Amino acid sequence: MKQMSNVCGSSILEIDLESPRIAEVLLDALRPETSSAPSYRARVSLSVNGNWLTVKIQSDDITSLRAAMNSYLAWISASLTTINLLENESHG
Amino acid sequence: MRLEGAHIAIGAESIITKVALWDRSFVLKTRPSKPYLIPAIDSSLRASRTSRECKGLNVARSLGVPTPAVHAIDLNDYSILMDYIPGTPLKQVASTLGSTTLGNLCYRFGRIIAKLHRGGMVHGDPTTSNLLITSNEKTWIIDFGLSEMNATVEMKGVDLHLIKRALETSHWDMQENMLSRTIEGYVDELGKEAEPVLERMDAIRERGRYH
Amino acid sequence: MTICLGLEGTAHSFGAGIVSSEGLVLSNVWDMLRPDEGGIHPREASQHHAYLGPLLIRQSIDDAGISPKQIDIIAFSQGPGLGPCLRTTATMARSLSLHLGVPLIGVNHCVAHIEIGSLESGFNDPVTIYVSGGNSQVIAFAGGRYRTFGETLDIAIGNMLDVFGRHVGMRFPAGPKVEKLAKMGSTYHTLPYSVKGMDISYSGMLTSARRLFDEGLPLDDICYSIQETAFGMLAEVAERAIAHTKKNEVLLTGGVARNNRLTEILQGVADRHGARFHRVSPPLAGDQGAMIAWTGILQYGVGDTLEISSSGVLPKWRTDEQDIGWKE
Repeated sequence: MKQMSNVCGSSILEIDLESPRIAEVLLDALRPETSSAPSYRARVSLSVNGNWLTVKIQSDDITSLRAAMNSYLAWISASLTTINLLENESHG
Repeated sequence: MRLEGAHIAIGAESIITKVALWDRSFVLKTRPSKPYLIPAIDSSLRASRTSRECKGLNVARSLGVPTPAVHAIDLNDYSILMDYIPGTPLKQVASTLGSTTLGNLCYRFGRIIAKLHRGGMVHGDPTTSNLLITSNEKTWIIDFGLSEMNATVEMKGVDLHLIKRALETSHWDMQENMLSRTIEGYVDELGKEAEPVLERMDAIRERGRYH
Repeated sequence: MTICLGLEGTAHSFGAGIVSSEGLVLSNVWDMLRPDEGGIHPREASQHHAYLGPLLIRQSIDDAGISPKQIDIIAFSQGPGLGPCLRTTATMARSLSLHLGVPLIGVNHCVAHIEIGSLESGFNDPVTIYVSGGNSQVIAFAGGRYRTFGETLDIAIGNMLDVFGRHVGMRFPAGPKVEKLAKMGSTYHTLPYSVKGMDISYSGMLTSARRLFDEGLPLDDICYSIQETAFGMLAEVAERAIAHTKKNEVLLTGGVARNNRLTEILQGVADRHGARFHRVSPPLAGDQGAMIAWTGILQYGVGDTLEISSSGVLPKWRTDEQDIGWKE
């Protein structure tokens, strides 16, 4: 990844998941999104260490930093909720 | 106009009849009613398209573009009497032509559209059905019912966009060659003036969804 | 038998549907974000999808009466559409595919509308008129692809109706209210009728219709004039497409297909050309997951699956860029 000189801010989201397997699922599910970050002003990298998924976001400005954080958290939450709901028995 | 003859085409838009008068062949083009339109819209479209066609054919010829000459117009039954051109639409013959011949015809198509645009006019329906090729390989352009005057860059961009669309839907296996040769003819005729129109053509393609 | 779960999330609706390879729609649930004002806000819509998506997916499985393990394929709307919505939907689809260990299929939203309509009608080769809040297109199959013969040059018909509706104080979506008032109108006020080739434009008539309202003309007459003009334009390009392609089936789909006046007009056009006509039923005409699931099954049959690593969304995916290997 190109190192930008005008990075305004960065944030790191570290998420503790129930298993390394789920961490890998999320890593692979999110990875295609990193090639086009929510805004062209934000750059995102992902990694997994055991149960932990790490999302590192760098951005040129606070607005796009916040937008990228919101997006990744929403995607992670939606994916986790979907998987968890599948594990439950029928709700009907 | 009351003239006897054989229908040579019944499209969505008009009835084309070939008629013989004074030992010559003519085309009588009549715009029938469209029953799905309310009468107010139907009659105003029939009148405006008949009148635009007549004007468009004449203005185009004054700009050096070969079109059939108009001999009479009847705004009561929305018909036009014009020269019969013994040609075949490019759409019909495109797949039988070699790529060089086809490319050359497209190049001329591009020049024709450019001449109209330079004259402040858009054709409005520039498809390969409306480019007639005669046996001496002369190209004629017809069907000016959707033509407009005082053309803006937007209107010209739409005209080029319509060419692209027609090539995509009728000549999908040859569209790249046909489009590039058409654009080449257009640019050769118009020079720098072509640039904003080509840019607009690309922009128009991106529109139409999710705004 | 193959069972596919399809996720739709290209714009303001999120849907999940389950369809079998026999063409049975086992379940089909969706929810539409209804903005208080303004058009579709991509970020709000994507949040809506992220929040409600998991619940709708679970509900589709329960409604179908299957267990998650019986799902053989995951299909999702890969494009075209609003980037943030597509990405939320795609991420959920990838997670499901990875978690269940089943193939992932990227479906073109417009192709899906045609395929589910063809399934319902039994049509093989229709001219499709697809009209919704985000799309107005006339599409037909030619040379191995679905090709757009005509579409709007500016705004979609549903969007035009919604923007007008908002201007005169109607709630979203405005189409049904415009239709109701139009029935009471009788005086036609001239609005710009704009057909170019087989393309149409609605922005000019929208501006004029708003002006007529501001001048104090009766709203029912304006609604009548809007419908007759806008639908007349669509009918004309549909007729040109039928004449051009010489096909003998006409399919009307998309959210605006609910309109009875539009249906009547297009039925008339089809009759004039001796073509069969079908209006897709409302549950399958709007944006929903069953259409994605069914198209996923068709694509799976010809091996058109995605690697997770190359399953990025395609916001500007054109209808004619999808190979239709399952036809002919």
